[in-house]
Amino acid sequence: MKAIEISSVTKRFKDKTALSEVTMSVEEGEIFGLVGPNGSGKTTLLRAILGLCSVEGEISLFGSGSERELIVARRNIGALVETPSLKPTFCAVDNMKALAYSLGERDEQKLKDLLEKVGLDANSKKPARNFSLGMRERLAIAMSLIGSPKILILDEPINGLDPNGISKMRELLLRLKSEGVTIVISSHIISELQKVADAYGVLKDGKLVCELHGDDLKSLVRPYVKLVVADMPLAKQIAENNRLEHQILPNGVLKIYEQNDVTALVSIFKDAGVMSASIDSGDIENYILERIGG
Amino acid sequence: MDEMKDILFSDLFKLKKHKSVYIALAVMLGVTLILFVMLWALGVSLEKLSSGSDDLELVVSTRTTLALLSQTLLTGFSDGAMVAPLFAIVIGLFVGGEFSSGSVRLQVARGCSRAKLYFSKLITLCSLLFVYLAICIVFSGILTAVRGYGEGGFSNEDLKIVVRNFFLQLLSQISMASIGVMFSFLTRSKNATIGIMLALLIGLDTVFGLLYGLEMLNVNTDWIMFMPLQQLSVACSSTKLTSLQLVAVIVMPTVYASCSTLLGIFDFRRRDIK
Repeated sequence: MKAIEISSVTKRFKDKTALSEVTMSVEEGEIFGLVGPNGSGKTTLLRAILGLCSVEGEISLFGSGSERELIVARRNIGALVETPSLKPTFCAVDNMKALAYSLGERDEQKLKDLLEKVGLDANSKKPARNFSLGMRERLAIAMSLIGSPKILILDEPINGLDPNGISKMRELLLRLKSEGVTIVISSHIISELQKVADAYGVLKDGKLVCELHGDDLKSLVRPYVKLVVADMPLAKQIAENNRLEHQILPNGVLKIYEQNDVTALVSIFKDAGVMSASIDSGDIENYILERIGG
Repeated sequence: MDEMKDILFSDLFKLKKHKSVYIALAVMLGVTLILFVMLWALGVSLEKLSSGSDDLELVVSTRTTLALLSQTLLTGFSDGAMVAPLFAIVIGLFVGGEFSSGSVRLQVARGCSRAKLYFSKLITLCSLLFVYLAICIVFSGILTAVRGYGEGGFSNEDLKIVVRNFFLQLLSQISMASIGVMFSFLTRSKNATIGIMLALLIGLDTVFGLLYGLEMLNVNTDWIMFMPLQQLSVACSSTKLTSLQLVAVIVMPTVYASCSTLLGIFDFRRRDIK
């Protein structure tokens, strides 16, 4: 089932189109990475999903049809958008309570458990204004988990986290995924996103330039043998004669897929003048960077 | 209904934790106490002035003034405690703070109805206003009892006026609070709300205060009490109100509160939240 479906969503500001005809979907239970350079429309798209800004087009959560159903469906979304939304004079538990009460959650122990889940001291009376950036981020994530949401939307959640914090965040996200939570994360750090994401949406200048799901990713990361040859026309001929799936790249580079015996390949292509041979695999980060021109 | 109850519960929790709520109350009581001391000192000076005087006119006018002074603290308790400007600051800090801390954004993102969020803030602040006025009237009552309520003591008629004034002042202040909440939602900023509300309260008072001077030129100034935020002076009166005054202090605050609430909700439901 689709957890989120976005169809032809457009957002115009006075002098700028922030989103242009964006159509994409997120499957239930997957971690969806939303990537793109600054100003590409990631945050606007997340804000549109959360109902914080009005857009043209349609947004549906768990198949919700009407506007009313969409508002009700948003009760199942946990969110961290832009800066953490915290009351600076409140301690961690009081910040949790302030949001939890409005969602009908009154069980203090549950709130304390969530704080411990993200590694914060549930009994500390320290006001949020004295928290480090990482602690604020973690508190905001704990708040987004109030009410056991089915969808979690996180905008740049690892900003300000130290390596240990990033590692804990990764563990938390994978644990939530195993519990069936659908997660949408926007991030600049594609290498980090790669460790958790099952699918990607790539935005550039408000447009969705590509959407990568399971099979696309598999084909992207499948291994190949990279040969650098002196005579490319001959190498191409050899590849075709031997029915080898291949791709020709500039500078005499030939990629041969589904064949990992380097020695055998070098002997097959020896007439084409093999200068180097190595096993490699596709890289999502490079692929995405190519798409966004990074 | 449950959603409204939950949002209200959350707002009450946040308001209870807001320091400005207690500071404003302390200032209101402090101002009332200062006013009490000043009125007492004025009364003592007037008594001294008229004691031993054979001028009957002076004695009568002094007694009338003293009686008015004794009643002022109680009949105009919310004006004396400066509830309006102090409450405007609380509104700005509380509602503006909800926007600046991102609480409103988070609640909307979690599917809370925008109209319910608006009403919840309004109801929470009106409840606080009721508590403020209740405390201020009790405090003013205690101080008035210490000083004495003038000649003849505190009669049933006086009690009726005090109770009437309590509700009329509450209504008048609710209208002010509604306008304050509207500006908070329109500007979404603490400072802007406080600035606008204080400018409105002081500015309108100054302008209409000057216009009241036209009475001396035999120009009718009754229309002023129908203007926004101008009902409190009528609601502080210690005499029986005319029909026109009753319309001004009952209908106009209701009209202003309703209009500002509708405008505030209309804008809040329509605009994006940053």
